[in-house]
Amino acid sequence: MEHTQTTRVWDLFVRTFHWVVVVGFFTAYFTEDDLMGLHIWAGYTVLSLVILRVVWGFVGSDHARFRDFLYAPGTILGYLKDFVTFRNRRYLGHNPAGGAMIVLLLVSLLATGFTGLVMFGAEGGGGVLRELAGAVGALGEAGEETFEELHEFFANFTLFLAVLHIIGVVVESLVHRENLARAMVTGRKRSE
Amino acid sequence: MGYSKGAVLVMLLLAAGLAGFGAWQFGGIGLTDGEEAIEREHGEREGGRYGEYEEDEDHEEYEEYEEDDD
Repeated sequence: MEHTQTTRVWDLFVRTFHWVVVVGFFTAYFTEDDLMGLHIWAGYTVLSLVILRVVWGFVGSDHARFRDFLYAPGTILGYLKDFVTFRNRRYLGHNPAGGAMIVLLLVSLLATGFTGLVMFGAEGGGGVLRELAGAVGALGEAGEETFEELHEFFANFTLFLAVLHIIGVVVESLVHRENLARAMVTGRKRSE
Repeated sequence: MGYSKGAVLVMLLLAAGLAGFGAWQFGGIGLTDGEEAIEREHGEREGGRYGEYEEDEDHEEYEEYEEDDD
């Protein structure tokens, strides 16, 4: 029987972050109006986790750091060219396209969360958030509508990115005969 | 895994800060609260839409009182 050696790639925080954000994003995406409380808490949880993930990108484990998965645009395009012909090479951490996708997802989630906080402040939420809404000019009907549209745009853009991310994970898993979704649960990947 | 105790401490402190901020800003909001309940709650506490409506009502009552005087 062949025994495959594995190595720990994703630390506990990265794995927890990934799956809680998945649940939190879809909970927030499909709730509003009658379940606005759930929408707000799910959205704030996602925003908090994204902020923590950005910090972890500088101080976290080797494969969690931005320096491990940020590549030059030329490298990303080269990888994508190989990807569409199924000749993409295997990376232990994030591949160049996956790394770029993570940055896009983090930025889009931050924008969704930020516009949500501003909307909450503009619509009568108090304290710092009302100050924030005033500072970015969201108080007043026109400002509120602008931020509502931005909030919806970034939420839909995040959903679009998530679909691309899932397609990438499925293709990569098939090409390299490796279950990447399971690796995000166990944290382990094949060593070679 | 390549991270230090200091890094974990930074993350825990930041997580505590974010949780505290969330509790401060959204503490009165229940998971099952709808949009109207949240607006009413925040209006009462922070002078939002509902608070402004209350002020308007007071103002009208004051005007009526003045008319009675005349």
